[in-house]
Amino acid sequence: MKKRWISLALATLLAMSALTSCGNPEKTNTTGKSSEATSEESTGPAEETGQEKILRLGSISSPTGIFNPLYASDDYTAYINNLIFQSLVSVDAGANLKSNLAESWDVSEDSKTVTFHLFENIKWSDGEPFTAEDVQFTLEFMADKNYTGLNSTYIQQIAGFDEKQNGTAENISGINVINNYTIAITTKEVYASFFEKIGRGISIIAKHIWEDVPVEDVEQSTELLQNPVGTGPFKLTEYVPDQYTALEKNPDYFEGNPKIDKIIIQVVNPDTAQAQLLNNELDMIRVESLNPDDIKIYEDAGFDVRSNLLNAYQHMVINLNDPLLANKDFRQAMAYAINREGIVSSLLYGYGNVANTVYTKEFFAYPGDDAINDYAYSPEKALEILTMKVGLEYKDKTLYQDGTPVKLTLLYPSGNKAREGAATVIQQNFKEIGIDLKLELVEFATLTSILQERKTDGFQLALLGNGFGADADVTQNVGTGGSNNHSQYSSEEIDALLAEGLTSLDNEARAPIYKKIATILNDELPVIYLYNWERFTILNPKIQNVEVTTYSFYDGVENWDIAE
Amino acid sequence: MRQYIIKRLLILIPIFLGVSIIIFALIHTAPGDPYAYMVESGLPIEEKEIQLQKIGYYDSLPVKYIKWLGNVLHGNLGYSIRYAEPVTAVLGRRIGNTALLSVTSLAASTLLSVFLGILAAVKKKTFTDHIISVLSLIGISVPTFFLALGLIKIFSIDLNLLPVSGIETTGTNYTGWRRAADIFRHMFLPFLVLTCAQTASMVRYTRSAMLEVLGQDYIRTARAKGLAKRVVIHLHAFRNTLIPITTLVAMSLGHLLSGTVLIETVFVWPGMGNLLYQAVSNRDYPLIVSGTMLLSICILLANLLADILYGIIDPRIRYD
Repeated sequence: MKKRWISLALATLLAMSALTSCGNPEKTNTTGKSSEATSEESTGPAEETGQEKILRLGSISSPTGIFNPLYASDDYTAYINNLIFQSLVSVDAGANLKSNLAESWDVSEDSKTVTFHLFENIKWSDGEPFTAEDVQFTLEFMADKNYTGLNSTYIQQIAGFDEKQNGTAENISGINVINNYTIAITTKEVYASFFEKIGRGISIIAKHIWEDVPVEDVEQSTELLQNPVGTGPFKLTEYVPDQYTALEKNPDYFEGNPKIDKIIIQVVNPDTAQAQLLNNELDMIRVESLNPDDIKIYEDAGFDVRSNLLNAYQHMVINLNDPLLANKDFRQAMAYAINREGIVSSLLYGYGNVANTVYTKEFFAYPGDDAINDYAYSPEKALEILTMKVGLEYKDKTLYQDGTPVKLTLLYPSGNKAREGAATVIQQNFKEIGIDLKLELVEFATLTSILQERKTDGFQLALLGNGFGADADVTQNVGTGGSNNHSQYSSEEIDALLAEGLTSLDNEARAPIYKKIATILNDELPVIYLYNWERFTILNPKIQNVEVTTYSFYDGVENWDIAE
Repeated sequence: MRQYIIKRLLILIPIFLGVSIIIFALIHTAPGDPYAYMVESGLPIEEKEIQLQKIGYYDSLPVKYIKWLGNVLHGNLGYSIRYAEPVTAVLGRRIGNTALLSVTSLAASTLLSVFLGILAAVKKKTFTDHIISVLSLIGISVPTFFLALGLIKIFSIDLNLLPVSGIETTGTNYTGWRRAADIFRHMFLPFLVLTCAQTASMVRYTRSAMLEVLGQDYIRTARAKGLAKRVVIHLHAFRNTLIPITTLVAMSLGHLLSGTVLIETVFVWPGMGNLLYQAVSNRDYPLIVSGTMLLSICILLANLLADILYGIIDPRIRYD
């Protein structure tokens, strides 16, 4: 009996080693020499065109397979949808509008109606022509009461939305298809976020594909969701969940035939992606953080490492229902006490900057460094404010309020290394001014539910990130009752300015209003702004013409090329 | 025996219901919701509440449970919120991958550890025994992700023999044997790590089980009546050692489909562990409930299997 076991075990071992050793020689032709090697192997189109250009992208999370831009709710699916679908307009690196599906547009005198003139030669990837009816269909689709995507607030401002939603009207009265390539959209009031939400935020889907699907069944139409028909530069060919998504160029793309034949977006582990890039298994990846050692490795290997500032900030939410925290001087003292320069230099390795207001330095609504207080790190100044202005007592390295030591609790979510590190820095910094800060690591979904309960004593301080698009409106974040206003900040002056900012479609006219808002927030500190951070794109040098902007990852993807 | 199995299977039904109630209640009372992670990208609360209303998030727990149970009885496990795909399809795609890895590594580590454990017990306090003990201690102490990263460094980066991660070379469309070979090359490292980790802990069990049996009176009797040592070990001792080993293997069988989050994450292996971890972070309720229920059924069945196997190995055990 024993012999049988032993021989079995040995046989397994032998088989294992035999199989591995015969696996080895094969290695050389699968991953040995970048994409050319692989393309030679694959049969089919490669033979016809001679050399297929394949771009291999790494993605640290898998898309969910909801390839309908009105429903996709995670970034990784949205990135892919951006290759397949298009919106009416898009923006350039400076957040200025540029044409996309719409060639041009006119704004009526009262700023309530925008008329889009669409390009006339656009085709869906199945050959059907793209027309204004598709735009109308998409917007009305989102107004259906059974629509379960997350973007219906984008179009609530269109005149006639409510009638369509509650079923009293067949169509949205504010949408007027003038001819096949002209469509006018009228809003109830002037809607400042019009271009951001309706123009840029909504990707247009094909009427002929979706019109026969009842809206309530869309999320169960897996077949259609996983085989999207779009107008964008690429079309989906294969989606394997948790592994990869393959796209091939759309030869009918109206702005020209893309130079890359195929894009394969592969799920990778951020810890081993470096090896895959250096081994030429991957051509490109984008990551949220990178340390100088890694950057040096990439650069030594000839890789192109780029970074760009995101339109986002990390901040410390402050529960303003807490009497001590409601004191503006106390909040300013906290800002002085936190070594935010240190956080940027040690946790972000300098790839970012200290944030002092809601907008980043690159954003058009940023009031300029001179207009705001930079709260440069100074525990002495913090203590001075705390003792002189707030009236607290500092003795034996402890801060006292009416004889009891000041104790605070900071909640912070897991999952972002730099932010987790920032929590510890803040704890240390608060100790220097005599505040005992207790740290509580909370799972992300739990933290957001605590914040959104809006309980007056649900929390004291919390770390969170916030990102926004190309529009300056921050009503959600600082307006009274705003849904992301977790501090529960309320100021009549800010509310009035926010309302004023929404009355124009012209960013140049709006800029002074938002600059004023940014200046007030910098002084009031409804939250402590911590830092803005940069995102990295690592590129194999053979990939050419890539331009990465804050607002779009795949902007101009049709011009990307791979050097022979 | 047949009656026993039928009885045990019938008992599974109330256990299943009980487990489902506990799982259901725990998952749905945890704070958070499926759209929580979108807060940072500015999803308005109003919009979120509309959606939560539509997916029945605000129903009371008993109502949710009855709705769910009704669907399950009709064979409908529901739609994943995150993937917009039937839960069965989402799970189905990963089960195979997880099973491939865990079945092969469990088989290999069982064979290996039985062999090494018995060898160590028979050669007690010799050089062989010490080597095996030291190796298994090292195997237990080294964290699996560390071992995994180390092996990736050696085999994939330095020697460039094996791929870093994934289950297939993407975009190749291999078929037949070439595909099998490709998958094999991808699974070798995770397989090796899992096998090492499992063998390391199982060797210690088989060794001590064998030692205990070897110390029994009947072994001494068998030896005393003149049977050769080899015969005693193969015939008498081995069979009795199998009982604790069976328990151990059956317990591992129950966890076959749960996957290992760490290994799957390091090697980007598209399996159950990672899927369920993602499902929990995203509060994808239908997926979590079905996934955990599936795992608990596996464990229940594995226990049943172990009980039946005892009877086959040890005729003294009777089921009445």
